[in-house]
Amino acid sequence: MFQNESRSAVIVILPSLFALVVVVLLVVVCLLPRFSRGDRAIKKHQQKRIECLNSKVKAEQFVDWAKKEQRSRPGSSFSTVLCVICLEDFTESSQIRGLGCHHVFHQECLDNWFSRWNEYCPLCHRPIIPGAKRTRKSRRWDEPPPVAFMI
Amino acid sequence: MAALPKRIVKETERLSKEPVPGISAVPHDDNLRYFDVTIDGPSQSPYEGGLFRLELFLPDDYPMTPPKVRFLTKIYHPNIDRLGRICLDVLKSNWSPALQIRTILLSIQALLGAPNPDDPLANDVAQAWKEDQSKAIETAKQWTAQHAARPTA
Repeated sequence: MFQNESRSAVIVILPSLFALVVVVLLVVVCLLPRFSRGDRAIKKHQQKRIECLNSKVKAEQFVDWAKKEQRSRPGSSFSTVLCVICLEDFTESSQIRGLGCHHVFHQECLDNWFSRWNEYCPLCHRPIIPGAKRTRKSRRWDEPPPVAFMI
Repeated sequence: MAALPKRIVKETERLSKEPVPGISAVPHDDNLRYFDVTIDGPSQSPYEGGLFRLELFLPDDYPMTPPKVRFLTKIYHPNIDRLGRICLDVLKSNWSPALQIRTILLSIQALLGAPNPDDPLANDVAQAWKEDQSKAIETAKQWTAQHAARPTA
């Protein structure tokens, strides 16, 4: 009797296990390229955004930016300026981006913020790209698409 | 676990060295991104005299994304639902990395002092607030006394 049961177990369970493995493999094979394609598209788009930022808001050394700011706005002092994104003080050689609103951030910190589809200065909410319309944060990739697109 | 970013270390140090009046935030020993928070109910609000407990968690990509904050103490407020979730713009679409744990907690304290039933999260509370404000305030006071009583020393 035990033999019978174990035989039926072999007959039923093994093929179903096999089928399950096949289905899982199929799903993985079908979906993987889609995910990686999505990732690639996002990375490419982020790269494009940074290129656009590079052309509109120059990255430079903090010391050079501070000199220009002092010339254009006499009386401003930059002895203890820190980057509000990482809370680290700037050093003279820090690579920074100074925005049109006169706020300054480490290049790495600001690029991280901007590449996530944030269009405004973290401090005053003026546009990061000069002249860009002040919009609400545009749709992020990780959010579900609007209903209109889903239909 | 990845090393704790310097920014979080700095914020935590400042929170303990220069605490905000009426607010405390202490990280867990075993998870320095998870904070036990208490906020005093603002004076001249229905929450006056209450001590409200919250939990605050800093996600991996903080400060690019906002902290996750939730009330643990039951509270009768049109912008806070029964699960303790908070409807506050700076915790969602108006988050900026220039904000910090302390500024967010101050905003939440301010929200207690200025309930906004026109942007509700707890619909039933907001409705009650609009229909009969003085009764709603009375209920909020009762809930404060019942659920947010300070532990007696």
